[in-house]
Amino acid sequence: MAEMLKQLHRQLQWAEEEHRQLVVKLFEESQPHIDRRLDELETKKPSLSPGEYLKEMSKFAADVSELGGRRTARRLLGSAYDAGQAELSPGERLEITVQLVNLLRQEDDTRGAVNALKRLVPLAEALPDTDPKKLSFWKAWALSLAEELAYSDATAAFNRAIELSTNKEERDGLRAELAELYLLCGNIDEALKISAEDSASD
Amino acid sequence: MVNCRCLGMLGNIDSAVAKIDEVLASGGEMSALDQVALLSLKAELLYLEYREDESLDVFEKAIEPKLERVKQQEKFVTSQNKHYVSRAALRFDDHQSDVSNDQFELVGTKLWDAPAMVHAYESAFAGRHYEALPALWRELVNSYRQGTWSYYRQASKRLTREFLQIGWAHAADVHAINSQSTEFVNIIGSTLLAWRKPELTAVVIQRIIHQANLKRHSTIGCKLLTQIADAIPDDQMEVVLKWLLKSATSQPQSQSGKSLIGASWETIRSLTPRLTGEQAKELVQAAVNRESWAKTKADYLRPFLVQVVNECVSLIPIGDLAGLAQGAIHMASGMSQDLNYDKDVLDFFHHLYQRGDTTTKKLIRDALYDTPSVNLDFVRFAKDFGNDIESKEEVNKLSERFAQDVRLQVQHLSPDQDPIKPQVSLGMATAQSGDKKTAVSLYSDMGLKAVIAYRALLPLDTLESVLAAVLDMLREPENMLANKVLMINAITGLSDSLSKEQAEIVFEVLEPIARGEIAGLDVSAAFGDPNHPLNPFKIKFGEAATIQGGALYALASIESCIPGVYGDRLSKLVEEGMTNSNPEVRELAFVAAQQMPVLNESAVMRTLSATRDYVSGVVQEALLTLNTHFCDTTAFWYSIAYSLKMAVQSPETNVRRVAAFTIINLTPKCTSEVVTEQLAEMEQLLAADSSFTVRKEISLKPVADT
Repeated sequence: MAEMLKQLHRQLQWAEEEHRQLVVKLFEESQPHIDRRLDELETKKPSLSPGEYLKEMSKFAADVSELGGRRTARRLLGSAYDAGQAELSPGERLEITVQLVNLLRQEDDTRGAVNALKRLVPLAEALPDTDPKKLSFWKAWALSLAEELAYSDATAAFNRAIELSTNKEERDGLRAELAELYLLCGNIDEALKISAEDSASD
Repeated sequence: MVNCRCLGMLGNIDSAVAKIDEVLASGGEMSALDQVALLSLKAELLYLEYREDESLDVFEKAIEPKLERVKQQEKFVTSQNKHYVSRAALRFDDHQSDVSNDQFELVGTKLWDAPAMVHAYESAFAGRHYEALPALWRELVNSYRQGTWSYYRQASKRLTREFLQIGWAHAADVHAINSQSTEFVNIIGSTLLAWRKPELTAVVIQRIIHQANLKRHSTIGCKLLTQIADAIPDDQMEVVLKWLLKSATSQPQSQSGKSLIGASWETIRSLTPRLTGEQAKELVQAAVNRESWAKTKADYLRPFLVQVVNECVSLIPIGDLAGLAQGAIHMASGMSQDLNYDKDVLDFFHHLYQRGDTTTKKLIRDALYDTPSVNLDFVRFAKDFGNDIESKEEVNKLSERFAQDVRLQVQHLSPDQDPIKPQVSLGMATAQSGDKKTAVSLYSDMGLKAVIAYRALLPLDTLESVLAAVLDMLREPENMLANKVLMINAITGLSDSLSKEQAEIVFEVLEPIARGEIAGLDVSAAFGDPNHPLNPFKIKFGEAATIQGGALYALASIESCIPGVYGDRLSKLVEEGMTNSNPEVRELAFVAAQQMPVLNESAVMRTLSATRDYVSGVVQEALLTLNTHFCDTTAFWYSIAYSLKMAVQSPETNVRRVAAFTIINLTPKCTSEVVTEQLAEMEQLLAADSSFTVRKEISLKPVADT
């Protein structure tokens, strides 16, 4: 019995290793496709304005990231971002910045995320409150500040995002994040206040 | 979840637990994961209240039946947390957590980000704290969300360390308390004391008493308050005491729960110099009401209670002392027969004896000396309790016995001889080489101290034989340094009983030691160098510097009893000691200088320079020396004014306290108008110091000249 179980254990370990190899293989097999699309984009680059190039790159980076190439996506989008972002409309600029910021945060580069978003606060504030991109920006801004332990700015950003949020579930989520930030930073009174309000409204 | 945790932290544990039960009972559409999370919080809050059995009950009866419906990770987290509680409850039979750990290893998920932590530490080492802090913070958030209590504690520890590195001691208390670790208490406390910013200290104190109410958190809070007791602003004293008394008067619900009660009384003890009479009375009442007080044998708490009550003896009305003594007299039972008697209890009785009326004195004396004492300390202290029990003959016999006993520290034997154990020995080592065997005991000077206490009754020849034994053991190259320190102390103790001839013999032995020529048993051969960072054995059997400085002090004590017996010979030695490269020798050289009847000009100049030494202990002793050995010259007054100006700005409380003492003493003696004005300004500055003891010192009257 013990021998049989040992053998089964070895087989499972082998299957697991095979699965890991498969994931890597899939990623490797997608490389020629990624390279081809990147070549096409680079060929088109002279005919595109930096803004248009950035928009194309944004789509491409989203696909690359989904295929597991998180760091490649961040590098490609980051290099196109500086030259092209100024040409975008405010909405596009916020959207692509938030996309870049999410890639940076996934890679633990929260300082980079905060720096990218900081410049765009006036731009985001200029959008109407009903524009979903505005909320999306404030959410990303609040989360990045919280991850960077910029306590005062983060709590202010969370409160602004909560103000802008019209969806109850989303608002509750943001309030929970804010309560957690207060708690973990040792501001128990504020954490209790916001969590008590939430309990009462449930 | 946050709400219930906050309620617990603010001291409403019952409301927090009731709320969790209420939410769970209300049913609704709560997922199994949410139910497990809420129940885990309940178990954690109970654990943090030292209610381990109830916490384990939650795991076994409520959480585990639901585990089938959650993922492997949650199962693992739960088993880790349960294991944590089991260990705290001293149950070591929880093998399930090892099985769960193996399962989790097989799944391969990592619960903490080791590469990110390494990167954070490297960043911190390189001074890039802007990179290190956010990474450590994110790890704290992750560990909180993931719910493994031990990881959260570790993450809190890392964040505390980082906060301290970047100079945020005033905000590090939160994470230090969450880490439940005493590791950071000293550094947070010493940093707050050194900053001398009452507004920041007040915030930390307020935060502790407001939100460190879960008992495991309170324990760390108490330890932190102990460290900063001297800097607690006056207007917070009342609330701090109230907060402490709540824990100090509570009953432990488990074995581990005793640590908070002990910590509370320890903190209260640190506050006793600041108590009012009313507060002292209240504390004495609280202490004597504890079950531990009535026990004959000391338990975990009684030493703290005795220390607190002892400190309160001088603050409560004399009329209350008889009752207090009656209620404590059971502690005296069997003390005189016990070598390991509780010294704090004896000190307490001594204090009561000094302040109490005749009946109280008799009560204490009769209880302590109810049977002939075998304990030599009781022989030594008999006089202090009005019980001069030893006759001259008995003292003589005792002294002759110890003149022999002292020599048993080092025994040179033949290989077949067995060493004789000294009367009180803390351990013995033997070494054999060829046909020689040497036995060295780690000696206790209990008996020698008793002999010294009765030195005035000793006949000359007995005194000589005791002194000869002490000097021989000091010369003995095979004796260990720790024993030699005791021998030097014995010479100091005998300093007022020596003749000029004996003083000369002592000088011959101590002079080379005072110059740094010290021979002693090299224990590093057996245990390695205790100062080496890679040696795990840190036991030290005495330091050469203590003996060198001690020799100076012993000689100076003799000089103060027989002025001029050593004269310039000793002055030169003390002056050399003042500039020794070892700070302990320098410090002791100034302690010796304070004993000298006269200090020459060159020694005073060295002392003035030492008031700016980089070691605070040396600065303190140098300043104290100048209180009695000052020169009334303009240059002296200007120079000491400069030193005192530096000292009053020192981050070290002890240096400022000595500066306060010196300013109060020297101001009436100062003949320079300019310096007198400067001293008055410094006095004003110290009157508003953040330290209670400094403020108290500056408010005292100058010490009368002797």
